[in-house]
Amino acid sequence: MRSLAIVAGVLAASCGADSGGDADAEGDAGGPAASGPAWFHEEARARGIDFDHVSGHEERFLFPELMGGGVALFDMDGDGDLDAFLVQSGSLVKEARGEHRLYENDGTGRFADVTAASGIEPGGYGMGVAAGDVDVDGDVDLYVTCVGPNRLLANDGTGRFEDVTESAQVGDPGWGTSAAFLDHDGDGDLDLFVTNYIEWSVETEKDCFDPTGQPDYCGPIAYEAPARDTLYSNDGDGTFTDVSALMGLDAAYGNGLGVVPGDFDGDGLVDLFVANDQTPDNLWLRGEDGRFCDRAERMGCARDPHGGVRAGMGVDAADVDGDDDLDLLVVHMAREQDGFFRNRGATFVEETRRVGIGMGTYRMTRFGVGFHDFDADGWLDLYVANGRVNLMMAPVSATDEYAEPNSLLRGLPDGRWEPVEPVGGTAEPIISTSRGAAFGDVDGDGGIDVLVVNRDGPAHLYVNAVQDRGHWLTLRLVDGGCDALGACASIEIDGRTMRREAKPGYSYCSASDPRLTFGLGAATRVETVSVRWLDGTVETFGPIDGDRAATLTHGEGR
Amino acid sequence: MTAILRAAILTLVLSVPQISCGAQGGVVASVPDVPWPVTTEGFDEALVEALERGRAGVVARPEDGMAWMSLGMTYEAHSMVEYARECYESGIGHTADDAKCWYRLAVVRSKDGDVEGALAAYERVHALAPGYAPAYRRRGQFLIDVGRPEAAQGAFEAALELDPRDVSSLLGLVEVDLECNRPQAALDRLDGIAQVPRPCVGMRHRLRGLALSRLGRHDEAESDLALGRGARRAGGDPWMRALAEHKVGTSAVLLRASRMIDGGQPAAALELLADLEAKDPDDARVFARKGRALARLGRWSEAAVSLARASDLDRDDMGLALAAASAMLEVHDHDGALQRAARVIEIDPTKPEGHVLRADLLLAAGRLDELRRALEEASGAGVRSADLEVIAGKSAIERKDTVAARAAFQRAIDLDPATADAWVGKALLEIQGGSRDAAVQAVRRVQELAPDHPMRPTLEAALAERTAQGSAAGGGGL
Repeated sequence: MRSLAIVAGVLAASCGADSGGDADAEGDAGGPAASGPAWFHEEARARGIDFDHVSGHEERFLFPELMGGGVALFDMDGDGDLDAFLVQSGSLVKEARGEHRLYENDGTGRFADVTAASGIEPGGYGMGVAAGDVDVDGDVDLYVTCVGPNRLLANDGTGRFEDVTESAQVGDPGWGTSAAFLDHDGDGDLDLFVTNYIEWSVETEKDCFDPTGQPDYCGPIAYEAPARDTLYSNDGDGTFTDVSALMGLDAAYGNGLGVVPGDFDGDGLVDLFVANDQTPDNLWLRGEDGRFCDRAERMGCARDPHGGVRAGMGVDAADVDGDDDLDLLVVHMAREQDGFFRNRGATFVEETRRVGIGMGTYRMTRFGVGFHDFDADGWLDLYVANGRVNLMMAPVSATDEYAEPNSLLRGLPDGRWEPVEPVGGTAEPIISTSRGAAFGDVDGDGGIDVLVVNRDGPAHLYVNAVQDRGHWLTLRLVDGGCDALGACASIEIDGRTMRREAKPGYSYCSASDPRLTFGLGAATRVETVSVRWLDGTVETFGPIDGDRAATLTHGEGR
Repeated sequence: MTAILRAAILTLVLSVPQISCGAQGGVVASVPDVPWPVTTEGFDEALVEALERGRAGVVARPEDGMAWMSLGMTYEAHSMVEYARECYESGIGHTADDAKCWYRLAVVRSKDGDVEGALAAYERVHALAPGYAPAYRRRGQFLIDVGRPEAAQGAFEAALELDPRDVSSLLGLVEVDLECNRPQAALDRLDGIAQVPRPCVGMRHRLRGLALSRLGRHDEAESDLALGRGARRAGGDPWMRALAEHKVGTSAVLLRASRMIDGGQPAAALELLADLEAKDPDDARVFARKGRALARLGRWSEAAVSLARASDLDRDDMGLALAAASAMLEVHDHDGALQRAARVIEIDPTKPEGHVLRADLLLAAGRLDELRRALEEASGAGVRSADLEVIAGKSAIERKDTVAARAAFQRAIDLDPATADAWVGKALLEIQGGSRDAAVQAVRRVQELAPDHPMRPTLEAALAERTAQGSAAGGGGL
């Protein structure tokens, strides 16, 4: 223990002799675990996921040790259930290379380690992962970001992977963090966006200190070396071309950690939002010439309400208010409020405080994040994976100074969110240094589960255990035999429109199931599903009964 | 911005102090009931001494609320919020009627994210010191931050009732308008503020920009948003300033501020520096660090002011003058930057930095006659620099004197063969002049030295075009 004393601070309000009779003054958003049923049960090991993340930290504080790792929930073998890939970091100074792990789902949410048979070789200091069918062969491939060259692992459809980085020419050598597949040029194959953090090497590492003078990890601006992000365009023949400059993406860049693709301006083209750490965020919209142009400053989603920059890490985009556009949530570090930006068409308006997220997550340092309707009541809830990056606050855990509980906020009908108790949605708080979080229904029961990677600790699988969960409908949108990433579906329940996007790339360093799950509340059937495909066409499907998963294929609707 | 200017600002912004952690405090045995770090190993020596003094006071007089408050303020002044909170809460147990102690508790509970606890503490402050206007304003700001704008409005109005001239509270009401989606009301209220003190100017711009933006007046909003970038709420108060007394020695605070800046906490560093500035408004070190912190936050206009002040206070520091010039360039204050360049030259005319900066600025402004004289002056002072030769080459191109330009670029290459800009200039001239081999060689050198050079695509395209023209014309061209 190098730092501040253990104080029963974050979870249990400390207060010795308090306040002259203000006993009722305690308790707040991040406050003590209280009564209320659990939303999740942590069952990683019980279900066969025995992954332990290794940062490789020894004596020296090497910045990347603080930032990994990621996780993917994806269907590796086309059997309809979600398998898991967990990114290992390893060591920055020794030979120990990231031994990533692949787990196969038996269809019931129980997993078996199939790494040895997968052909996935250890390699690189792993950070994150993106998932998508890059070769349009009907199975999902993986792209692993690293400190150093990234890796593309091509899936043969049976869960065996081949490293095709070199032939595909996608081995971006920077410090890659979050990555996402998207069809930026509408040619039917998946292109790849890689967020890079900073220019860094062991040799250029710096010494930083906490406010008391103790050694600690540096923040990104200590290096003053933001790295350019990379857009690889899929050439359709197994190779990619770096089109970052051609597409205008060299016009601005920051300390990138999170990315989410989506059509933010409703023009039918895929845009990108990049969350940057202590530099302004980027909103890459498509201009008339087809190139990307950073409109974050102009549209009001680059900075905090005072025009300052925050520590942008994880990010998600969803139509939270059913007005047919994508709103944004960027999560930040402790004592900074998150950035919830409501899409007003020509501009974004930050409403973090108004919607209750501001103080709901304020005490934590937030990384993985996702809007999902965990209780299937028709309102999007919010899950955030937390873990500190410095020693500025008194530790919560005796064994890990960076650990803290995750956050779960319940979506309310009035458009606000409120923290769920017990904290993090588990019966007892689980204290870890969480990073990547992937979302999906691993056991096919219609409840969204969460798989989280924890720095220097075991992964956690939070299995949805919400009591009296509402009815649900899961949709897979398929175009040309592949998941139609970028397409969206809308349904109407009780006069209210809900829209969901097919997007695996959001959160932090992670890839989630691209299928869409709608919480239907008391409704048991959806009369009409309207799907807007990436080519701009709109089809309708239905009626579809609830409490089941359905596949909607482009061209088969009305 | 040229490489030299970038280097100057990087030197300023990135410099990591060569620190020693001082005498180690060693492991101090914990004392029951007094919040104490498990170890103070690595803490500043002066901080450990201050904490030990504070703890001794509490141990000697545990029933003395002021002793707890003093220790709490030392913790708070050094960002150890949880310990501060514990001390204040213990102190209040003995001094329940001390408004200042409640105020401190309200502030640390706010920082700790304890909404209801902070608000309850503010209520006690108001009850005990109903005439202390800043407490209402601070509560209003906190209420905005926690998403309760309607309650914030009441707090700001109470502050204004006590102090009608408090612009910070007026701006607080504008924030309330924006939070409540009343952009026109916000704009009207802003226009009604007659005089805005300097510390509030940035915030006024920011709020005005947001209001205009939400009214769909995006073009009008842009300049206000730019001017208000990074603005913070202003309005310190005497009870908050008292915290400065608990920050240990100036050097230690400066060191801590530097660490915070380098560690990615420039906003927190600014808080530390504000107190030092209040104590000693003529300390160049304070303004230098403040400038660095502001630059890190992208608040370039304020950074320029701070760095210029630092440079004025320490007129012999070339790095400060260069940094001030760099910050001025960020806000397009070319005249100010030119003055700083002159200062740099004055400090040491034999060093190239000031000459390069001045020449670059004159070139950018198209003041070619002055540039010629400046280059002559540099030459007269015996300064030889590849950067200066590149500028000379560029100015020669401006004058359409390709012979002089070619010679200047060649001199730059001779002085430093890794000067990418010189190869760019040479490449352009060789492409224009039709010298294929020389052009190819120059472009290749640009590709090697600066693969991301913004001119690289242009050069490659021009080379390809000339080559194609040459082929079409039967090999006469490139």
